[in-house]
Amino acid sequence: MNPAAFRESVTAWLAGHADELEPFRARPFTVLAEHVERLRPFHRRLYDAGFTRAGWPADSGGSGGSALLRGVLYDEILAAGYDLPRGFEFAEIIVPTLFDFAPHLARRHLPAILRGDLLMCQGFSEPGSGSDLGSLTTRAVPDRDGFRVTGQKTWIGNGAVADWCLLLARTGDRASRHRGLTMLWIDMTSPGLSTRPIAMADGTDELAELYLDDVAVPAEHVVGGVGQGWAVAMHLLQFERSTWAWQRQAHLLATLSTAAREGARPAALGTAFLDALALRALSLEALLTTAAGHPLGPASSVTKLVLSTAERSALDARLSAGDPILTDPAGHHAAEWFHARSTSVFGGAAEIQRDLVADRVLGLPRGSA
Amino acid sequence: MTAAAAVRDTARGLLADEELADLRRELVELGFGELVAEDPREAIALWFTEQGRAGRITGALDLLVDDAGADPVLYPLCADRGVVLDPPPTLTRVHVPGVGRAEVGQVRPAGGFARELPVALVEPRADLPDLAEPLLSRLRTALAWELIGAAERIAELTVEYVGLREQFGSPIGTRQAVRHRLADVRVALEGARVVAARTPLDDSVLAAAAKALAGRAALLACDWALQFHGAIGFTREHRLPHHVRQVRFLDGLLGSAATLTTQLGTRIAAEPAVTGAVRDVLGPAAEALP
Ligand SMILES: Cc1cc2nc3c(=O)[nH]c(=O)nc-3n(C[C@H](O)[C@H](O)[C@H](O)COP(=O)(O)OP(=O)(O)OC[C@H]3O[C@@H](n4cnc5c(N)ncnc54)[C@H](O)[C@@H]3O)c2cc1C
Repeated sequence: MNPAAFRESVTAWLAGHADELEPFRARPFTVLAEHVERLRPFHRRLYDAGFTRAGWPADSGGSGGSALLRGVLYDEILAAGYDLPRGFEFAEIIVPTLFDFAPHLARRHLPAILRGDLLMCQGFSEPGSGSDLGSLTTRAVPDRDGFRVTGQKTWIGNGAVADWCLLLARTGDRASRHRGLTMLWIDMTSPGLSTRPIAMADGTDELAELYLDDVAVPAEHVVGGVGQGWAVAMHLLQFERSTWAWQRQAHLLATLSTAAREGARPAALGTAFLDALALRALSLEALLTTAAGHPLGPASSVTKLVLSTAERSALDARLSAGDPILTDPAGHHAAEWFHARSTSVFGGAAEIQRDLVADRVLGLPRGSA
Repeated sequence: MTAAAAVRDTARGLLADEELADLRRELVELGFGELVAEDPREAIALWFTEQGRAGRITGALDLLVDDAGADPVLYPLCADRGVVLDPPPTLTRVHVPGVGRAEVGQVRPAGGFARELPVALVEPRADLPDLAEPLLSRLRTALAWELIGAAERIAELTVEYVGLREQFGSPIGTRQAVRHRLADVRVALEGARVVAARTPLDDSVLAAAAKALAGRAALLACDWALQFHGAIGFTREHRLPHHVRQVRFLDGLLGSAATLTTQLGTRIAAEPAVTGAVRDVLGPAAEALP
């Protein structure tokens, strides 16, 4: 099915089931587990209607067709004013990475992911290693049948609700930096693994800490080979910085419609619309690039920077309609405001993206500081 | 060599030739009209990007105005005043798009940022109506490409300069403060470019957005180019001030970035569904797949 025909069937289905889909209308949340459970039946309905399998490989549980079909689905769900079930976010970041570096794991888990039964998280950051990810210290020590992992991860989105984690650990010595890292696929119910939600400024418990104490990981759960962890992580971040941003542009354009109805000021609305439109066109390029099987490259840093700007200006537009100190009783505007601001930190801080653009797009001489 | 590459080479050759005074005639001879008729989006993107890069203002925009006739075309700036690009030495009559011919009241050399550019300010003897759609959108898209071309050139000049100019023992382009601002310029330009590339010529929302994004990117490129060139960038010895004038002028033509941004906001405020309607023209469903 081509994207235009697929779009028509999705919009017709959404319109035809509007009454039953009412509980899934977009609304802010505070407790992540409740948010996940509220939207799980939505994911299942989309699966039963045949939509979530479109654009994924037919030999792995999908129904085939261009990967662009996935982009159409997210675009239409968000434009119609619904929340996107949580599973779709990491499906666009982690699953393509698994297909490229551990296809056996992608094939094993994809059916459950498409049904909305399996949630994932991404365990990279540590208390001492944020922007400088190459300094991380969580250790994976070879064992008879794989590895034993010990350490701590932090700021993990979905960390407290996920079933599986893609986790970056050190297999080389401390001095090996980027060369001594290995990516592992870890069952979150493993003995020795515990999580603790982090109370966020936006009122949610979206992020969590992960504690690993001698957690066993079988050898077949190595993603991309021992010592190849850095390459896998950088590959994944390209998706987080560009194709995932496609979901955000759809959300932001819908947000602007709401802002307009709430009486947002024209200059703020116009600015935010331009940013969202640039994000839409850039993330569409990324969808087309991956759908054609080409690497995303440093263009993903460009898209991430536009995403950071667009998230801010959309919230600024939203706030231009109301009171500037954010006294709305539900507190949601303030919560979304904090979230929008964090976009220039997660997935690689904006300064890191600008360094990448300067080095790899502009070809400027490498800097001191 | 592809057909597009051959046309681009010809365009570059023409635009590089400072001796060629009548570029408009050269364009007609090149078959610009046929190229536009064949594939308007491609032809407009190509020519106006090159014209912007070269920093030349020609009558090419006039050639997009279907029934331009023989008179120079008058572009409204405000209610009673317009501007003519590439004006002939004696100017008595102008063609006002959508209206027809008008007698010229007064012609004055343009001042401000348009000074030294081949343009004239004109007061016709009739009220100037707004340009009508779909022509207006087509012209805005062309100007978006011209701004993108100019901004690309300005950004290239700056990247090159900060890589060569040394202070404190190393190129100034090794400093993060400099690198990050030039990265921001590139990011703004990329956003403008991808939107312009997907703007259908007759879509008033996307054409206005493309011109606003291009203007915004070009103005940012000018600001940081002037800063990072230091004093040399403020002299006549350098071509940068010429490009800055060019960008300021093009931004002002048919709606500046600031004006168009507010106009788009006003449009969305009146019609919130506009943000969703973008899906019909820019998105996976609007792509022609191989
Ligand atoms: C909402 C949210 C969700 C997240 N989700 C996840 C997740 O799912 N999984 C995961 O592993 N991590 C996640 N993170 C963590 C995120 O990846 C890190 O916060 C990020 O890499 C920055 O690390 P840091 O917070 O330690 O900041 P630091 O590295 O300490 O940096 C602080 C600031 O210093 C500046 N800075 C740093 N380095 C440079 C430099 N070289 N040049 C100039 N300035 C610099 C930047 O402004 C940066 O924001 C999330 C973070 C947030 C906020």
